[in-house]
Amino acid sequence: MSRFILRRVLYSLVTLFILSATIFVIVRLTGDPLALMAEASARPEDLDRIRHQWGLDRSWPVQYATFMQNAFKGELGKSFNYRLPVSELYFQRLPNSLTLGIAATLISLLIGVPAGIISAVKVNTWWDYVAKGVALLGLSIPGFWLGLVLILVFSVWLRWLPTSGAGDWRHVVMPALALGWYFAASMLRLTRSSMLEVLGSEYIKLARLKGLPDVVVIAMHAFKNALIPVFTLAGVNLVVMVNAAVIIEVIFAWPGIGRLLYEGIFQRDFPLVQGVVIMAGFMIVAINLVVDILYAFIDPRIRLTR
Amino acid sequence: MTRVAPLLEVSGLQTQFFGFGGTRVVKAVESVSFSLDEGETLGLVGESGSGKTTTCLSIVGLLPRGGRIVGGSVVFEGEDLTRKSQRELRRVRGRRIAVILQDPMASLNPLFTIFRQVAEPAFFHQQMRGRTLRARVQQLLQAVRIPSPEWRMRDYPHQMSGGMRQRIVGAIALAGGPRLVIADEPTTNLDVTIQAQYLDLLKDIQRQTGVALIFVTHNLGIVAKMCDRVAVMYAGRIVEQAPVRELFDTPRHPYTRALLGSVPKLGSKEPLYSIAGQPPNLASLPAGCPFHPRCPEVLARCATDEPKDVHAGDDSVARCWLVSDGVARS
Amino acid sequence: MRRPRFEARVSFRVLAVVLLLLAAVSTALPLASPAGAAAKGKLVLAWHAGFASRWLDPQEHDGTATPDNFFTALHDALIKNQGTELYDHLALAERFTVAADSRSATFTLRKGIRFHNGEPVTPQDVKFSYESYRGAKADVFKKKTERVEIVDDRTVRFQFKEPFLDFAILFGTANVAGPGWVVPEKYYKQVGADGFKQKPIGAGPYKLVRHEPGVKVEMEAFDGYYRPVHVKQLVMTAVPEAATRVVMLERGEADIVYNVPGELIGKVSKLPGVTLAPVLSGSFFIEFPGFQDPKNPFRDKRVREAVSLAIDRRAMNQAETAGHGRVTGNWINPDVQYAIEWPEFERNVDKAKQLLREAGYPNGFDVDWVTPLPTFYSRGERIIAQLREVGIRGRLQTMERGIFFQRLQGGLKEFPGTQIILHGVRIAGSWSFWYEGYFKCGGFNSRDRICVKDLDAKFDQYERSVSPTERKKLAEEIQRGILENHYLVPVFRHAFVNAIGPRVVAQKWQDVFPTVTTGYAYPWEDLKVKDQ
Repeated sequence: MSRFILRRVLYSLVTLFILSATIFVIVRLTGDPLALMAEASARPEDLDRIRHQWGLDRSWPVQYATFMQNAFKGELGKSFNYRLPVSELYFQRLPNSLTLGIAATLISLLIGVPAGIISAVKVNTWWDYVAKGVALLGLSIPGFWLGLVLILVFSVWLRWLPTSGAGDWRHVVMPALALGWYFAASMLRLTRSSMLEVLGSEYIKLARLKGLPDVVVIAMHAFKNALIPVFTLAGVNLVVMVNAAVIIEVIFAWPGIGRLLYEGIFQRDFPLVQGVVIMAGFMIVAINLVVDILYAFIDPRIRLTR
Repeated sequence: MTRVAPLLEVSGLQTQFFGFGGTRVVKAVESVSFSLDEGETLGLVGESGSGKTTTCLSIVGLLPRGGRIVGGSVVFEGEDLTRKSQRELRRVRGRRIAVILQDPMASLNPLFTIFRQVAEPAFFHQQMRGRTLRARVQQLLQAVRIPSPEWRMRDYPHQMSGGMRQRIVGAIALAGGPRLVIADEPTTNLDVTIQAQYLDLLKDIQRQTGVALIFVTHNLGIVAKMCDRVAVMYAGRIVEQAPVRELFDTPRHPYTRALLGSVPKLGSKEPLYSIAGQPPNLASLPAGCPFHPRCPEVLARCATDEPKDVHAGDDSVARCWLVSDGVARS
Repeated sequence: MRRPRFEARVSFRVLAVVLLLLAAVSTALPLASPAGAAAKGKLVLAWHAGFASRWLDPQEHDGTATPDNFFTALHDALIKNQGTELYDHLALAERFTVAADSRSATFTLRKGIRFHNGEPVTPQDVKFSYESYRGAKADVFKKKTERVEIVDDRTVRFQFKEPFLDFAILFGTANVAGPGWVVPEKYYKQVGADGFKQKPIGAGPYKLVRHEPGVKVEMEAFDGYYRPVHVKQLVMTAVPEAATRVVMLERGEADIVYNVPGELIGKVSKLPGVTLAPVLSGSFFIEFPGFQDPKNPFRDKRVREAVSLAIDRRAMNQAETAGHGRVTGNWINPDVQYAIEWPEFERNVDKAKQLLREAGYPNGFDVDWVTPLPTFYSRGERIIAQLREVGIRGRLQTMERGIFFQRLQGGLKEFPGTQIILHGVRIAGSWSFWYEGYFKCGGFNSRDRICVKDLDAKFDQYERSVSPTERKKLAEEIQRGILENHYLVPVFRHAFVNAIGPRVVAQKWQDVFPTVTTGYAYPWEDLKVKDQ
C-alpha cells in the first residue's frame, strides 16, 4: 500500500513539472504585458525599467528556473495588477471558490447520481427518457443564460435571494445551482452507464438469485461498484469548478478564483495567470491522488494486491 | 402403487423473448415437461442456445429483459411458481431453490467479503444474526471444504483460487437450506483436475442434505457420473428424456445418438464425428421437427409435422417420428 | 420655614428650565466636526469591470480616466477638478497662486487637515508626494521642476526651470496625473508602495475599512475631513456583468451603477425611482494611418471629406447610446483647455459620391481593415455599413484590447496598406495632451502614422511658447487645421450611461454627477442617501 502511494506521488510530481513548464511558455506566447501595464504616456525607458523590475528582460529558461526555485519555497511571484504575492491572492479567494465548488459538487451529486441510478434501474422506461432529457438540457443550456434566468426569477420576481456577490448561504444557492446543473448532467450519464454495466453483471444476477430484496441488490451490491468511476469524475469536476468557473463567477460577481484568472488573462498579468494555473494543476493532481487512495480503500482488489 | 408427489413438476413450459418492440419473437423454450423427485439429480444436456439456461431461469422466474413465460406451469412443492408475484418468488429464491452459476469469479461481488456474501441468504431468509450467523457461515464453508474457514471468511473473492470460489458459490447456494439446487454448468470454467473434486463435493453434499439437483451441462461424461436422469434439449425442446443408464444404452433420438457419437474416444485414431449443419436460429425455426435439417435419419414427414412426446421403455420420453413409427433403430 | 421651601421650589424650576434650554441648544449646535455628526447610511456603487489595486494609489497613476474613481474617495489634492471647475478647485489648499512668468506656483494648506491615521497633512508630505511621484506625466514634472520649497509650516512653493504653463492643469486634473494628491510620507515609506496599495491612507473624505483586491473596497466617512461627509458607508464593488448590475439596481443592492449598455438602457429607464445619468464621455474619431503615402487613397482631401460626409453620426448616436451621446463638431470636448467650437458636420451621401468621383474613385475603393477601439466592435460595423453606401468597402478587424494598444504603439508597420482606425479617447486636462499622444509624430499612440509636418511645427511652437495668448491662438489654428483638412474625422461623443437608484437624493442626475471633467460620481462627500 505504501509503495502504491509512493508511486502515485512520484507520478504526480512529474505531471506538475510538465504542467508548470507548459503554462510558463504558453503565457509568454500571448505577448508583451508592458503595453497594458504602463501608463499611456510611458517612454521606452520607462517600459524597459518596468520590464527589468519584473524580470521580464531575462531569458525564458532563467525566468523559469527562478520561478521554480521560488515555487518550491511557496512563492509564486507577485501579481502585476494587484501588487500582492500570487499565493496570497489565490488563498484569499480560495475559500470562496471552495464554498461554491463544494456546494455545486453536492448539487451535482444529489441531482445526478440518484437520477442516474433510477434511469439505469428503469432503463428504457419513462423515467429513463425523462432523466436523459434532463441530462441533455443540463449539458446544452449555457451557464450564463441559466445564471441570468435564476437571478431574474429568484431575485427580481420572487425576491427570495440576493442577486450577487458573496455573503451568507443565500448568496451561494443560485451560483451553485447554475454551476452544478451542468455537472449534474455529466454525473447522471456516467452513473447511468456505470450502473447499467454493473446491473448486467453476473454477481448482480446471483444476488437476485439469492432472493435478496431489490433495494439491497441495487443500493448495496450495484451501487458501490458503480460508484467508482463517479468518484473520479466528481474529483475532477470539483477542481474545475474551483479554478475555472469563470462565467458563473462573472455573472454573480462571485469573488472567486475563476474571475481572478479571467481578469489576469485580460490584463496580461503573467505571474497571476501562471500562479493560478499551477495551483489548479496542483489541485487536480492532489485530488487525483486522493481519489486513487480512496479507491484503494473502497476496492479491496487494489488495496490488497501490491 | 402410490407415488410420492415430485418435488418439481414442469409441464408444457413455454418461454419466449420479445425484442425490437415486440416484432421479433424468440421461442427459447417450447413445451418443456419434466419432473424431479426429492434428492434426485436431473441432467440437462444440449448445445449452447438449446434452452437449458432459459429453462432454469424460468423455473425461478428471473428471466432477462424481454423474456416471459407464455405457457405451462412450474409446480414446486405443490405451488405453481408461474402464478406467483416477484415478491413471493424472492422468498423462494435462495431459500427453497438455489442457483449456482457458471463463472465463479463473476458471480462474486469483488467489494464484499466472503463472509458477507455467504451470510446473505441466511441473513435475509432465516433472519440469522450475530454469533449464530457466524457459526452458520463457518459450518457452510466447512461443508464445502474450505480450509480455515474462520480466517478465510474475511477474505475477498480475488484472494481465492477458481476452485475455491466455486465452492463458495456452492456454500452460498446451501446457505438458505434449499430443497432444490440448479447448477448451470458449474464446472465449465474450472480446471479438469478441480472439476472432479468439485463434482465429488456436490455428490457428498447431496447425500448429506438430500437436496435435489438439476445439473446443466454439455459434458456427457459428467452426466454419466452425476445424474439419475437426463433430459436432452434441442432448439428449446426436450427431445429425449430417460434414466441415465437407458439413455447411454439405448438412445432413441437421432440427436442423442449424434451427441454420444461425437464424444471422442481415448486412444482412437478415427476422425472426430461432428453433427452436420448449423445450430438452429430460434427466431425462425423450420417447420416440422427442428432437428430435421441436420438429421441423418430424416423422413419426409419430419419436414412438415412436429413430432409429439412418445413414451417408450420404462421411464423414457422421446420426440421423434422414428420412435412413434415404431421403427426403432439402434 | 415657609420661605426657604418657596425659594427651593423656584430655584428648582429655574434649574429645570435652564437644563431644558441647554438640552435644546445642544442638539441644535453641531458639537462634533461636520463630518461625524451628519454621516449616516450606506451607498453601494457597482463598478463595471475589475479593478487594479494600484488605482488606490495616486502615486502610480496610469494616465487613464479610470483610477480617479477610486482614489478620489480615499485621497485629496491641493487643487483638483470638481463640479464645473476644471482643475483649480481649492481642496487641501486654501490658497494658491501661479507666478506671472509661470516659473513657480505657491500653495497654502488649510489649517487642521489630517490624514486618516490622525497625522496632520504637512508641506513635507506635499513635497514627498510630488517628488516620489512616478505615474503618468512624471517625466514632464521631473524635467521642468527645479525644486520644491517648504516656505513655512503651511506653504509650499514649486520652482520650475522654465515657464511651465500647463502645470496647474496637469497638477489638478484627477484623470490626467497624480502628484498633487497628497499621501502621508511616513506611512508610505513604512509600508512600502505595495503595502500602501493594500491599505491606503490618505486625506480624503473616506477612510478604508476593507479592501478585497479586485472585488470590493469598503470605506467609512472620515470625521476629520474639512467638509461634511454625508454618507457613512461607501462601498465600491466590482460587478463585471451588465445584466447583474442592472438587477442589483432593481433590487436595491446597488445605489449607483456604471455603464448600462445600449440594449439595457430602455429597461433601466423604466425602473421605478431610477434615474439615468448619461454622462458625456469619450470622443470617437476616425484616423487614416499613413494617409500621406502617395498610394493611399486617403491622401486626397476630397476622399477624407467624403468619409466625413458619409458617416451618419446621428444614427450612430441613436443606436449606440440611445441618443444620449452628442454628435460632435470638434471631438475635443469643451471642458478641456483651448478646445474650440465647431459646427456639426453635415451628412450628404450624394456629395460624398461626387467628391469620390472627382478624386478619381467613381466606383469607390477597398479598405483593407477597419479597426475600432475594442470592445466597441458594433461601432466599427456601423462605420463600414455607412461607408459602403458611398462605395468604400472595408472589413472589420477585431482584436483584444491589449493587442490593440500594442499595435497602436507599434506604429505604421502594424497597419499596412489602406486602413481606418476608429479611436475612442476620453480627452482630459488640455487639448495638447491629446495632440501629444494621438496626433504628433512620435506620439505614444500615434507614432509615425499621421505626421503632418506643418501642424507638428506649430505644436512645437506651442510647447515652447510662454504666452497664453499665443498658445491659445496656436491651439485654435491647429485644431482648425485638423478639422478643415479632415485629417481626422470626428464621429460622436459617446455617453457613459450610468444609473442612479431611488435611495440616492437627487433632483436631477447632475446632482450625483456634478463634475463635468469625469464620468464618475465624485465628489463623494456630497452624495446623500434618503433615510430608511
